[in-house]
Amino acid sequence: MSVILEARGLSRQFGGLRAVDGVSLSLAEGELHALIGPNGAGKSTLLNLLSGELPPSAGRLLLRGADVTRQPNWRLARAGVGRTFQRSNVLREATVLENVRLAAQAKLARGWGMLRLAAGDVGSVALAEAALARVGLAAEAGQVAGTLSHGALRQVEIAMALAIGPRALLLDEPLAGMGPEDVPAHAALLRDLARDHAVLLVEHDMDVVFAVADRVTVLVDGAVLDSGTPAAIRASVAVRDAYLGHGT
Amino acid sequence: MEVAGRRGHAVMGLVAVALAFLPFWASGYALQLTSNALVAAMFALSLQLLVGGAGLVSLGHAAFFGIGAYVLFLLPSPLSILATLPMAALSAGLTALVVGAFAVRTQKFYFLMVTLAFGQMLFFLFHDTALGGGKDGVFVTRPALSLLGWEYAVPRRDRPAVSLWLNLAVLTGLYALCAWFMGTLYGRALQGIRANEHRMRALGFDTNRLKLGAFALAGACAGIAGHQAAMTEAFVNPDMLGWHRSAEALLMILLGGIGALHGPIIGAFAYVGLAEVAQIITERQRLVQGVVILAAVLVLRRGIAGLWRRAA
Amino acid sequence: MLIAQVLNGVQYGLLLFLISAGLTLIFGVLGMINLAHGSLFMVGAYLAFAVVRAGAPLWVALPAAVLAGVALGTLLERGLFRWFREREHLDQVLLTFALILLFEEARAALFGNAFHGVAVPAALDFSVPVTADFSYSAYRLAVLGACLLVAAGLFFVLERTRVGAAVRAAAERPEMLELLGMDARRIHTLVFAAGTALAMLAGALAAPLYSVYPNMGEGFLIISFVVVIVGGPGSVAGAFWTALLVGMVDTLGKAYLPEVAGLAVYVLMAAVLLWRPTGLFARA
Repeated sequence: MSVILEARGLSRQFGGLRAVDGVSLSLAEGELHALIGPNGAGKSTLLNLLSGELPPSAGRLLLRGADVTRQPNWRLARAGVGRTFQRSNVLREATVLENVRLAAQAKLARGWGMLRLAAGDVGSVALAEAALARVGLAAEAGQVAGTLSHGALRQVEIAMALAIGPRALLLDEPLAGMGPEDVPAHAALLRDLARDHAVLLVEHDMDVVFAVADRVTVLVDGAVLDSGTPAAIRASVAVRDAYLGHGT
Repeated sequence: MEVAGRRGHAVMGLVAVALAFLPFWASGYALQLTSNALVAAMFALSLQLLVGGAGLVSLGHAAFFGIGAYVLFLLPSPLSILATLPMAALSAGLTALVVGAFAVRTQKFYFLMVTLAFGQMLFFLFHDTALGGGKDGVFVTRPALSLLGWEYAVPRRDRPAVSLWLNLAVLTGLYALCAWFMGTLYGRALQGIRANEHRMRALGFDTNRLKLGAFALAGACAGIAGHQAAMTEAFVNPDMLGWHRSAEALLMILLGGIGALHGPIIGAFAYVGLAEVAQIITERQRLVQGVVILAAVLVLRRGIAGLWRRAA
Repeated sequence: MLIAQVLNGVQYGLLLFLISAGLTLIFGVLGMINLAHGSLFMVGAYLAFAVVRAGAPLWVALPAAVLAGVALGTLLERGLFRWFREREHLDQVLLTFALILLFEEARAALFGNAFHGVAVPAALDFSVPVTADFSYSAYRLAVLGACLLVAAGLFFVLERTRVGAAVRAAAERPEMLELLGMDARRIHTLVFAAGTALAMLAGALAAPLYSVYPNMGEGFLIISFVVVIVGGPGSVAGAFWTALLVGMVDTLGKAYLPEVAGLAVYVLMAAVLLWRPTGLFARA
């Protein structure tokens, strides 16, 4: 199992506040790595560091061994880091297919190739359809994105991330706001994605996390409290005190 | 932003043909007015590439329009239009490339300020220095309509008609170029940037580079419009680079509808027409303009083109 | 006379600061630019003209301008701009442009299109000896002093009061207000009203120096944009030093190199954008 994305001692400061403090973490292909922690623990910030949205104050980020620290998000996306966002970030006025096709185009068409006509661009359409099929939205391709249910929109997000052909997938609370009837199918999708990607899952739904994850890292106050198999984390006293113990 | 379909383009074609017949029965003044509207439409269309196309609202676009116009002053005359027109496009486009390199890294209101400031800089360049031939403007020689030695010398009385046909042809060409461009993968990417630039970057698009390309192309098209303005009037003046011109073009886009590529064309004609009518009624031109903007912003949310779509 | 030009440069720079300070705070906190900000400057100037024409002393116009500015700013923010926050960017831009046109029209209707001089108050109508062979207008020195006073007051509020701290935080990171649990809308209105008042005050102070005339705010407005860009958006300290710098460059330029004077300021802006895109004085 090759390590795709690796964080070494990543830190991020905002003025006097240390949002992320010396976090080391690695994502390997074929593995679903869950990131959990209380609100304000720094999970979102860490995700932003891993995807290049924010430059770190200290530490290094490696993508398949190459140092990509401080590279902007679009470079990391091109290099193979795909992500979804907590708040659905789709283009609401366009169709589902066009949303995903646009994502597929990012890699396929560069430079002068972008002057090809979009209508009938087989390459990007094919990739988009494949991504939609994988997430189970093939039937909704022609619908306007804004009309979709919340759960379906989360699936579109994943399809868009898939369409750029990433090696690593960073999923930011994909189950947030989802109705309980949609969860099992979605969880199954997450496990399926882990087969051929290095997946990082940020989630609050503990049942899902412990059901699908291969590894779990617990983040508290910006630092890694513990990291290990789901069983080990569940058994950890420190984790229970800090996080799981509250009200469970 | 939509590009009209077959039916829309058929309608536009019919209108263009109707306009082409204008010289056979309309007065010289009407022809002049129509030419002005056509040139305004060209300029507004070039700006629509940025506004409706990429979500970039620029207040410095007139600078590229003015540069295209001043090319006729700066180049030795007489030259063929086949030389001057590309020169105008190239000069304006290259200038836009330089300005864009600064501007494109900024967003929304900051972008507005930066483009306005650079536009003013270029205005002062032509207003204060010897480059522009003076604050009040200067007459220019129209380029010759010649090709490989054969020239069509336009008799004076035919000038308004020939200007109109030429402007009609250039506008048609510009529109075809813009329609094609927005239909390419590049155009789709720009639309994505307009909708959600952050999202596009997260997908791997180098949005600054894409915006820069659009900025340069729009600048070149503005240069073509400026060239036609200078050619029609045989006069150029520094105000052609002023930001009020840019604001007017934005208004034409708003009037016609930001949601359609042909919106600014409708808007330009509506604006020129309204200005004519308003002049007859009142001297308070600014009041009319201000009220029209308020009406368009508060009531006519999708512009005139949007009305058509709602009815259809 | 170099010293005269330097003093002129500082005085122009300080007036520019009053206008730019409001602009940069409004941009930092509300994320918008009111193109009619220059028109507000003009309203302040015409207010001073009207006050003097009615026979009252000029100094009456100063508090009048501030109060009118607060009222007008509150009205504009609460009654108009607030409803346009979610609208298309083009709509916002053209809305503020429409305001320029309407202000100009109102000015034309009330005062006509002619240049009007505004008399320097008799008490300040003399020259202060600065060096052995040079005297400077007392009124200009008074304006200089008044602007410095306002600047000091502004800095005091921003650095030493709770409201000021909130405004500073919001100017840097607009999300801060919600995180701190403060009412963002009230701060927005406050900042907009203050910015408007500053512009109007500057206009009232400037009236005797520049006379009042159509479109007088436009030159100041666009240069203010350069000040905001170069000084760093949201930074009042940046606006202060940049306004002085720009004031000097522009005034000395016009005196000694008139051909490039207009350009000089913009070339400075281009250089700063290239070298330090966040502005000369912006915090990292």
